[in-house]
Amino acid sequence: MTSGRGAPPVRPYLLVALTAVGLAGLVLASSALVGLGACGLGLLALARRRALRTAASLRAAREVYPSAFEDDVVPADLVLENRGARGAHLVQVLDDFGPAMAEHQGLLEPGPLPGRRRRHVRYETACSRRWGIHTVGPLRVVSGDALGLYRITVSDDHVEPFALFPRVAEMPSLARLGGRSSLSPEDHAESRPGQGALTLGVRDYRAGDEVRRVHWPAFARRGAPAVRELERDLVPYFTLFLDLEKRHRAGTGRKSTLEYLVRTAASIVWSSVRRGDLTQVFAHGAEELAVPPGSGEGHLARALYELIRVRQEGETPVLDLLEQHRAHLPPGSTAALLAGTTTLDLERLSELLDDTRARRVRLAVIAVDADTFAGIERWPSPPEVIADRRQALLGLLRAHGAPGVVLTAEDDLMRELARADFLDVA
Amino acid sequence: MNAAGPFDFLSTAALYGLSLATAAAALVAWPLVPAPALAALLAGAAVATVIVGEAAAVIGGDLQRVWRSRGRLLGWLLYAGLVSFAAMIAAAVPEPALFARQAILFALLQPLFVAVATALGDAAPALVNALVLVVLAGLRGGTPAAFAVVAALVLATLFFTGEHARRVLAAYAARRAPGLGAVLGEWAQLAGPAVAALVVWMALLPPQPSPRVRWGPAGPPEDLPKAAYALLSVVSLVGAGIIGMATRLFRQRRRGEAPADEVLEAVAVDEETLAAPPPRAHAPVPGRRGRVVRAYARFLEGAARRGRPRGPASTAVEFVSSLGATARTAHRLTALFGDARYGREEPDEDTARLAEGLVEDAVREVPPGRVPRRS
Repeated sequence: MTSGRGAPPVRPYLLVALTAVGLAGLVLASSALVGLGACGLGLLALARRRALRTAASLRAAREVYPSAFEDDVVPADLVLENRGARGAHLVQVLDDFGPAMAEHQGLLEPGPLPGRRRRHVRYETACSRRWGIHTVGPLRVVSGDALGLYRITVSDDHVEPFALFPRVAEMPSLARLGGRSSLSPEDHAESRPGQGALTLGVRDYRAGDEVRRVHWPAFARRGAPAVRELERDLVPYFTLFLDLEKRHRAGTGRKSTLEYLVRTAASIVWSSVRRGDLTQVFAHGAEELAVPPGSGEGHLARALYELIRVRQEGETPVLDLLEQHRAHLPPGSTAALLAGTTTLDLERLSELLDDTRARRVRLAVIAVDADTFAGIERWPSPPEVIADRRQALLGLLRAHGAPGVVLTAEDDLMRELARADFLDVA
Repeated sequence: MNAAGPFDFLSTAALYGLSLATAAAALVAWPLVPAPALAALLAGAAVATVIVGEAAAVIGGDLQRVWRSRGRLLGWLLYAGLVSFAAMIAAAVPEPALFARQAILFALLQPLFVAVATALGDAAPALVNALVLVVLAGLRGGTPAAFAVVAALVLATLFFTGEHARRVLAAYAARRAPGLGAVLGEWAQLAGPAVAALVVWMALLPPQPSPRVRWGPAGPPEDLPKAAYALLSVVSLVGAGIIGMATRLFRQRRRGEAPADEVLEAVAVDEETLAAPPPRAHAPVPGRRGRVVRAYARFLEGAARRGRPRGPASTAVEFVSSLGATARTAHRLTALFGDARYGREEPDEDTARLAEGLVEDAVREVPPGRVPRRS
């Protein structure tokens, strides 16, 4: 559809036919046929000139927000300008919107589009393809002469990236996990003395306490100054460690470890940022990925954008990754270890769980069992070995009181993630 | 409502008109049958064309598949053979009696080809055969030849105009369409000069009977009175109009073809007058320094499109830092911009070219500014 829709091109045949008629007229000494051939060819030249002029006067531009979630319906605003003096009819606008299933999107502006006017047109299309970086463009405007003999396509040659984020699930199970102390007012608080808005209790006045905190009834009752003690506010702080080790690649398409890892990571990031956590992400795939702690929509967009660009080509085991970035885990915060396998070094994991608990960090472990996906680079393990390994991992987590879960290829991922008890203690 | 309807009517009427005019011109130029019989023949042929064509169109889908594969090729081969054979015979025996028989033969083929056009949507055979009839009329010279060429030019261009609009509107399943008058106006602007030139040509060089034809001692037959050609024109146009209306009546019952590609509909339309571009706020930075600065400005435009506009209070370094460490190309471009904008030295050609080449990649690395609204 790159040259637009409409009548099949008749121009070459017409050119041959008119030339033949003209030549026949010359041979047969018929002025009528010569005249028909000459005027017909003149008409073709005029039509070409008209089509080129129309095409030169038309401009189109597209405005589309450069990201969306899978299955979203995206509006694309087109601006069609006619800079010429003449009106234009039957202007076709062809767009290549990569995330849509169809290769091309065609839009017709039947006109008339008067001269020196700009028209805003909007089309909507669904993002039917898988998450990733897609392209949008180039945008082409197809116009021509009234007879449809010449169709001129003007392309803006502009291809822009479009980030298609995976569909995410709201994870209510994430809301049960904790946070770290804060000096700013927060929704969450803990029963320790701090700067929050909730009253923890009443204690004796100490030098330096603010006078406005004096609890006057207690002062009157005791005869000695007493002040209100406040609870400590918590700002939730979440860290995600994502396993992108090449060894754990398995499956293809929507049933692959990469798919499960990225979708789960996106849902975790989405849920934690949406509930107001400061969220950071660490991974080591083809390149090192470190999304610094942040919150808000811009941060969420950036984290998701980084996640859809990852490739499962790393060499760093996820436990090494956790160890490397242990210093980035503030006390009282929450972390999730998203592993692409259940074949973790359990002894080391046990040490890390102890270590994080000592630092008052709540560590959840989510393991995608690569053995349940179609093997790519190795033979799958026997089912009983897979089951034993899974039980060993879950048993370890249970022993440490750590929340954890194992995801398999048979699981309906989105439903699992949305479960309220998804991250309960194993 | 079918927005392509008026153009369907226009193309159909033009094709019938073209067929009637060229067949009549050829038969008048080479008279073998008396005029009343000729009129009856043409009228019968027209009615038969409508009935056969529309009846065949009901099973058009299957027929089109067959036609497009082998039938089309075979049909063209047969027709090309027939035209070549007719031309060879005419070259060997250029007698008026032979041309008269050829005129009848090709005039009888025309309804068949029009029926093919109606049923299969392929008007090419009808158009080519009409051209053959014009050549036959042209050999005769005189008023039939002039009438045939002018009618052919006018009606063929009208057919192309209607067919183009019809196909485009049908392909997009359009609900809006340009006015028939506006499209005819464009047609008149385009075809008008060519038709006027042809009429002037005919006036300056009136068509003469071809000297290649072996006219008998009596010479070419007498022309019909001029009024007969005027009547012929009116009858052709009125007849075409009636036939066009009849076919429209038939076609309303026909199912439309489903579009194969994703055809989208404009959901909001707004219009404004183009304003003159505002004057430049600053003189453009000259030279290679300017090229680097303009490349950086293009990067900022691209970043703004992706929802990350650079705030008025943020410096170039602050802005690129906000994009994250993974926006490496953007960092590189910003460094080049810093050197070009604030450095003492004019950047060299390689640096300017490098900056221009980095823009697209730098924009591509910019993460979106916010999460899209969930639909």
